[in-house]
Amino acid sequence: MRYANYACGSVEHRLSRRRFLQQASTAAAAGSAVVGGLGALTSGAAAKELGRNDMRVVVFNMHGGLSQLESWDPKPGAKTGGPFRAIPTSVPGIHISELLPKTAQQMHHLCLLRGVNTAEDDHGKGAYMMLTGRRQTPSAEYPQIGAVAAKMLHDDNSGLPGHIVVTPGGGGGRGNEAAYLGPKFSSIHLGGDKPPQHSVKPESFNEDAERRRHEFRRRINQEFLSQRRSAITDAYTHSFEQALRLMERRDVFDVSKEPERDQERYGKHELGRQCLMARRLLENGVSFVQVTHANYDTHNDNFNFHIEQVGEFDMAFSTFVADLFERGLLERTLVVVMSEFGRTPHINLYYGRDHWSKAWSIVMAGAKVARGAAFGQTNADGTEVIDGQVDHGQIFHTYLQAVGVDSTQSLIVDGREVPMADPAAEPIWKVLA
Amino acid sequence: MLLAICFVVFAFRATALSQTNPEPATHTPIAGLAQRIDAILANDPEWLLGDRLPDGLLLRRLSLDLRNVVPTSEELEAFYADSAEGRWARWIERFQRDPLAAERLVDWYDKTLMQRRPFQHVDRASWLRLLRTVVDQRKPLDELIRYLVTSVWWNPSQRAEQRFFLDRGGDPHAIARDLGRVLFGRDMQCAQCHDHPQIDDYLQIDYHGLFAFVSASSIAEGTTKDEQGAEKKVPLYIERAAGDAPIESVFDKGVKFRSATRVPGQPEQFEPYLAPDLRYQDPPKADALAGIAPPPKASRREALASQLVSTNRAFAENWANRLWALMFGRGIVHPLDMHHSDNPPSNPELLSAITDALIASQWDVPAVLAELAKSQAYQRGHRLPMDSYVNEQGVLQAPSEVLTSWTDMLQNRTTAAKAEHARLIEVQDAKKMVMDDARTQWRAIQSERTALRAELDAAEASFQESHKKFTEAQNALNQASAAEQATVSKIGLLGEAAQKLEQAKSSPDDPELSAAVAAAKARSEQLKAALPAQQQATVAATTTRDAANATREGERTKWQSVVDKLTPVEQRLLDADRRFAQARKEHDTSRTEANLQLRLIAQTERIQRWIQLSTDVINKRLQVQQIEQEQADIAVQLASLQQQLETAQKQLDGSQQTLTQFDQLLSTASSNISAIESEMEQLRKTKQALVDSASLIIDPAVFTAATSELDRALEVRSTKLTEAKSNLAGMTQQRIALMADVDSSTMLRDQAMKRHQDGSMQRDSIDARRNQCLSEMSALTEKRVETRGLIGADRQMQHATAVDRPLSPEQLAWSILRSTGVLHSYIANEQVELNKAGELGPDATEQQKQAREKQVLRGAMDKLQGYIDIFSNLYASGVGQTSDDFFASPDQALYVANGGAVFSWSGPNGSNIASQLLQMNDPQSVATKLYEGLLSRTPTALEQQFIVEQYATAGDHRQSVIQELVWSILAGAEYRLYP
Repeated sequence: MRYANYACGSVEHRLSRRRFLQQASTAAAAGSAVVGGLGALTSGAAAKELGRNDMRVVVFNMHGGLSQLESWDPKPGAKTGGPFRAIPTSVPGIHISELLPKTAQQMHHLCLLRGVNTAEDDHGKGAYMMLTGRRQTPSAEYPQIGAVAAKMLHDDNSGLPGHIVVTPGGGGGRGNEAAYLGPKFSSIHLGGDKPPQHSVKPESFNEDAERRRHEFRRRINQEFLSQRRSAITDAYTHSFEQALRLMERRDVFDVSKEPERDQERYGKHELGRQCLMARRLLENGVSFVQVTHANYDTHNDNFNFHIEQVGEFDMAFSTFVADLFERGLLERTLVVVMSEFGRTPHINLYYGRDHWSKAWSIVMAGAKVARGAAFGQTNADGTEVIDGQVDHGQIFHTYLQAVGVDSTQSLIVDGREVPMADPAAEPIWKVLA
Repeated sequence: MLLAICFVVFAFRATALSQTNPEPATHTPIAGLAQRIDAILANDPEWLLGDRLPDGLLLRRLSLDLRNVVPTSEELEAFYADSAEGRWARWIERFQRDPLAAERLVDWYDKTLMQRRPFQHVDRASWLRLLRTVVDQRKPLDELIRYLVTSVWWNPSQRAEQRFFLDRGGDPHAIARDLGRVLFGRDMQCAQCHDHPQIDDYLQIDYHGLFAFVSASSIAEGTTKDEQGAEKKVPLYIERAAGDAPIESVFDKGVKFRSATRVPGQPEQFEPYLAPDLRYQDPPKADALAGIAPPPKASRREALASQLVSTNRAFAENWANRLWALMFGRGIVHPLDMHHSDNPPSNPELLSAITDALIASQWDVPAVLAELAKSQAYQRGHRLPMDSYVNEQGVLQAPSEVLTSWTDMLQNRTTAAKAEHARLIEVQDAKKMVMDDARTQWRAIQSERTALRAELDAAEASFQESHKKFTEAQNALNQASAAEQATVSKIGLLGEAAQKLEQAKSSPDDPELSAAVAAAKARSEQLKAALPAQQQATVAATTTRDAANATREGERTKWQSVVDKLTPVEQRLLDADRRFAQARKEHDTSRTEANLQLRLIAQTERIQRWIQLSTDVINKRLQVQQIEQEQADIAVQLASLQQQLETAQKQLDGSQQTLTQFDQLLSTASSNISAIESEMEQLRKTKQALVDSASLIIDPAVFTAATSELDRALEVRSTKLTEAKSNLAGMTQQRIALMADVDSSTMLRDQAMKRHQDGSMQRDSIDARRNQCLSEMSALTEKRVETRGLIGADRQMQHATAVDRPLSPEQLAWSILRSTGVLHSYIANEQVELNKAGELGPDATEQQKQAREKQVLRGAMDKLQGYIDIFSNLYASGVGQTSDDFFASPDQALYVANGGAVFSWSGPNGSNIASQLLQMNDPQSVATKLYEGLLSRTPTALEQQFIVEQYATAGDHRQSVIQELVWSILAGAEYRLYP
């Protein structure tokens, strides 16, 4: 039997009731709506309804603002072009900066979006837009792509969290990235290569005592549940079993378990370790991983910084993409390389480039994204988009579509219908294969 | 005290929290509310109203609602032991007197008003101090709200009361949204740029009416002195004088309108038009205002506060609903910020009764809570009486007369509700026409006003220009006049000096002094000569100033004339608005009523469907049973057919065997004939050879003897052959008979086989029918379970059964801290610390003792705040959410299991529960203490047995086992949930 025999009205049923009431008493129950809000209580059946599939998302957050001119959209010879050449890639006709020689060899997996215009030059606001697909307003909060991916894609039974942000510093706290989806879908922050907090049993415990207390817990629950079982009690007792499973799978977070050779291939630097961690997490079924590569805010000495930074990125990223492909994961994983914005074509007095959101580039790869493509074009100096202009709203729709989630649907949150992505924007169908 | 200062200095602020006697005022009694609630909810028949929760669990619920913690086993025992009349009311009072109750209310105010926003501009300590003062002095709820909304800002020491605004970042849109949600229970965010797309009741004008209250407010930095006297900057939520800005709907581009202030359900409020130079008060004598404009004369925040009173039904209903939700776990209107006609209250009469009581109590929160707790409705459990007719398989098996009475009642209800709904739809349609009409009229005048307001803006701009020129001219005049005055006064001083020098001469020709006098006089002459020019300049400046003033006053008159045109229009607009508001209200009411009937129909039909489904399941089961009988019958039949088949087969086998054996005989006979024939052939050949060789035989006698010998032998054989042949012929005949035998047996066998096959097919079809029936039954069962779940939710919604709800993060944390004795030991420490500073004397008054008790508890709780923050970080909804939606995640469980704190608290310490359990020797008592102390109930027999078993096998590990048991209860589902 699919339905648990709950003694009382379960929350799930309440949701159905709301939906019923909506249809019964409001004239406009338009659009396709899926049930949300009480995400913790989404049952297997509801998961099917949500279209859960075996897709994953990984985001490379190039913090500070990667220069499109020193990466995906070089303008050699132009007065804005800077000192670097453009090199051919594995896709005839597509050239990228010479700072990315290894990535150039993986071009046949990638899709460049060279016509991004987000019109927002503030770090915080730009990042918010790229991660949520909306402009920040004081009166509403929107969930980040990681939270949406965790909700729509993650299998609760994997014992692993669905939304992981790897940062150099780490930190255990929950952010508010999930907004109305609820804290369950907020990120777990991993500091470099450390596993989540409290994921190891207290040292003073021997195996017997550990087993015993959880056995006690189950037995004591059992008697209560025979009287008062509901979606709430199911979710609550399940969370403890999930925790135990996470403890068992703690190794997943241990990058040192990866072969020494791989650690070398990715580069023995922070980003290399982060990428290896990302590969490990994705392979183990985590739906969303964000890695961070900091230090791109190059108002001074843009070119030297980019030689160093992009060089690190080139090694780790190209290895990562190639590995994902080799392991058959690429077709199930959307890879995004983004920043909060690009950098000015104009080179300032300090050989730096400043914030520039009018014409810049991002990269997508994998899942349902077109392979070996470059979409959109900027003018000769890279100061303006002349073809294929897209903004954060369209990009956000595209993330979701790329992993098989209908981005035009609405979630019902606490009785309110909330469009999953900005209803005023549409997916970029042309980059979806 | 800080409140008092405010009151004295700015007494004109009607909404400052009045300083009252800390003794609770005598409150208008609202006794009888509890009975009224139960009378209203008795509309449902008893079989649809929940049972009463057992005593211990009831005490647990009350304790959580009033004190944020679960009761201790000592409290539970005292409650059990109390058998005197009026026990429940007495315990409500007892819990409300507990210092924990004050903290509970502080927590509720905090979460309700701030929705878990972080402390950004106001620190936790000052905010808590403010709320604790409010609770301790039993301030009326409405007074607190008015106080926070007015939010006096020119005294930096009073910044806590600005927290509602400051910690929302001062953003007018964020604040407008929350004013709607928190004060009126209306989330009108989506009505910012157009009328709400999904909720017909929420109009863009409602949003902008609220927005206008705060559109002129913002955060500015004031200067104050810190404790060391050093200057420091503090953010203040200030207000300026402002007009209303044009608004247009994104759905209806081009149509602009203006919105003055408006609270939901009320007409727009137009403030008196003050000329721009008269809009601000004289700067108050506070020192915080460096660089900040003085307060406006017409404060919109004050205007909002002045509307937050009992006569504002939307405001009062919102708070009544929130108090109900505090005690019942869900609102009469739910979600709490979705008051609108498509989300009608579970019971409008109930909401109305609570609202009236809240007003009658003069907004006395504890008094209302006490009455809610006294109702039967509050004491309901999770089971419905109708469930007593439900068997273990979840199937309803009520006696037919009971079932008939139920179905009759439900049918009547549905029929009546449908008729009523049809009627109400007609009413609603009529009301809608009236409303639309009123709206059109109002809009026409609105656009008249909008045009005049534009004209006023132009007049105001001209006035401002002339006022600027006037100010410049006035400044020039002031300068000229000051210069002239300075000269005049210098001349005077020089004259005086000359005179004094003259007097000071020792001789008439004192050369030095004479020179000085001469110099003074010369200087004076010089100045006198310059004076007329200065006087002329002053006169000229005066003329310019007067001209500028005349121009300005001219502009003022023009401005005033526009205002004079506006005033009657606004009067008409107000009238039209009142009619529109009234029409809206009537329309919304009829729509609410229609929706209520729809809901009632849906709820009733669900029960009907459940009964029907239960009957269907039973019928299906009967059908299955019938089929199973058929299955049994056919099985018997098949067995006999099988037997017959076997018999026939056996017979066939027998006759076939006989035939086979006979055929063997036949073949023997046949080969016998062949043998004889071959012998005879041999004999004949021998004889022929003899005849052929006769010439060679010398003795003819020998020849003859030999041939006759052969002839005899042949003859014998011939006879044998004849005999054998005739024998064979006989046998062939016999075989034909045997063959016929086999044929008939075969036929019989085939017939039996056919009968058996037919029977098997019949059996298969019966099996298929049974499977079909079973799958239909499981589909029906699934639907029945689902429908029962929906009914459960309906019953919770109608307050007929207890709501399934988790403890809030704070309740969970404080309960664990109290259950494990941690809070107790912190209190003890705090007591010691305070006593070091000075003990209460033996002659301390009761009031002093209570104050000390509160101080001790608060000190202890403030020190434990870090743990509370950990729990709220793990268990609470995000910032700005209406309520704490339940969710469970592995990081919560990881903290509880491995974080260390919860497990270590579970162990013996001082006289906490684990220590007490460790002292006990009787495992039965251990079980009882464990369950009563942590779960407020006695263990069931199974649970008792489980504990006893663990105890028996614990051996040396007894202490660990106790600790693990305590932990596992704290980590269990029962502890996490409300009883």
